Amino acid sequence: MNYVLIGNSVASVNAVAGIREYDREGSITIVSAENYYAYGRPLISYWLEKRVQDQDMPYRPQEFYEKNCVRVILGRRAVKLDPEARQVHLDNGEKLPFDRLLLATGGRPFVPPIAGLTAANYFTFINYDDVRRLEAFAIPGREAVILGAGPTGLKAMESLVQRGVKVTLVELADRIWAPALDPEAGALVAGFLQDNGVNLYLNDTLTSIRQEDDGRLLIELKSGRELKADILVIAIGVRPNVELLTGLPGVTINRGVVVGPDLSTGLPGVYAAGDVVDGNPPLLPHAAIQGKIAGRNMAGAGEIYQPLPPYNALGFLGLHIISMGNSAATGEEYELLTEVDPAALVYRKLVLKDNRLSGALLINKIDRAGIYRQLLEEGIEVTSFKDELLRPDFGLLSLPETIWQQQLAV
Amino acid sequence: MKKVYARPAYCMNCHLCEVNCIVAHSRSRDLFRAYKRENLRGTARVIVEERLPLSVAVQCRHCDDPRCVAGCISGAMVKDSETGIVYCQEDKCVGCWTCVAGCPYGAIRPGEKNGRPVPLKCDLCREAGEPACVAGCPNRALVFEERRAGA
Repeated sequence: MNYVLIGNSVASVNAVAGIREYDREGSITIVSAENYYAYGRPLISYWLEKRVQDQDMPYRPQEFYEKNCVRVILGRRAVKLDPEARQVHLDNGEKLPFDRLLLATGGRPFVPPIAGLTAANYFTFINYDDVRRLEAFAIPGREAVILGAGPTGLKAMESLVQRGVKVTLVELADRIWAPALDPEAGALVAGFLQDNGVNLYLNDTLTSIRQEDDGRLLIELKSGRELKADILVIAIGVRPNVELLTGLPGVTINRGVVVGPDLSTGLPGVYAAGDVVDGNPPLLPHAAIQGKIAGRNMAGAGEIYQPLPPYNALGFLGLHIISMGNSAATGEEYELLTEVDPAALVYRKLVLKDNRLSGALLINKIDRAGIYRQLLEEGIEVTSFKDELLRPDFGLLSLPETIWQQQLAV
Repeated sequence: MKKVYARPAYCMNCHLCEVNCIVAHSRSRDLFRAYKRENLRGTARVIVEERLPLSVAVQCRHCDDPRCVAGCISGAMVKDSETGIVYCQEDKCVGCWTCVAGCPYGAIRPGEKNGRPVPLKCDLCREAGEPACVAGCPNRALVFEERRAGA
């Protein structure tokens, strides 16, 4: 069996592990457009801060590839998929035959049309090369404008602040990270950022950019405000890299590529995992889990991927946020349990619907968060222990005896 | 694989498993030094939960498909393919705490040592042999044994 994996991040590496659980013999080739062995993309902000060095970037050590007999082709882009001949064409003309193919091409930053924006006057914040380029510009005393106050923009903000750069965040929504934070939590985080010297402009966006004679950028906002900056970072989301499958019969592409419950794409032998998959939240745990299952299925396992609600941990400047499911919900159809301590920057909110956990948002008090995630994913009715959920000693013993006994017996 | 199993009926809520865990994961391996010099109070990788008279020690279950490993952004958290032990290569951890959000048992807590993040989780004392919590349990409320074939 001949396995080809396109893309070189967490989904691919986990697919290797999944394949090898079932097939020790087949040949595995990973094609990476980047010149690096797989690294966790969220590490780039830590690298920029110098909390992670070059040698600590790889997600798995070199021995992982040797032990699993993986051929890794770095710095080559897959440009065409020929499903009839079962071949992938690379940008150097090489053709790779496959029996099973994994599309783990991830996403690319979405860059909106803004007057005056050129490839030379902005940065994106998604891969190693982005921060390697940014490093030389991010020096103390400089000023940066970041468009987008979601997880990517916030991590870019943190690393720039740590490098002594003065940061302004511009966000189109009425609050920071609107899909995960409700207005109250958004206000709490906004206050924290302002206390850390970060400027924040909400309900606003960029309308034009001009390079001044002194080399600095003059950035115009929709509100009419003008900002001067040395660095502009665009961080308003990613779009799935679906080009290889576009136009092929049997494949459905919405935002990403549509997959079946086994993560197959509709083309014989072709699977997909990670950010390229339609409807998949672009989050690392989800990519890793999908990669593992896709790998197993490519080797014949027949495992079903149960779509997981989003869950995420995000820390910046010492503040830690864990969000899961419907964490920003506030409407009347939900029951909200909350604990708020603004002085300690603590915010804990559980969102219940029909006596089941539908979301959770935990700021600066995140112990045992995974139990909430499990209750949420399993759809467990919490009526009998609702009063326990936000108790300081909440834990497994808060759950019905049958559940915790079963869990501890695993 | 051999794992630590709690037997709540035998647990007398003495928290010695937590103390022995802290000592086993200290630099000095000495109770006095661990608490008074290394400041490791509260860093146990096993949590004794109480709903008195019930008490039970909760720790990592070393899952077959560990969420903490799947969610680790740096590759620090791994499952040893030979022993099945899930453990963190602490010098690679950046303290994002996705593992905390992932663990279905709440068995990973965010911790810190010398200004560096440390996920407080059981590693079955993988460099020792028998886990310290089991060795020091005065009433065999914790046992280290194989219960499921192949697990």
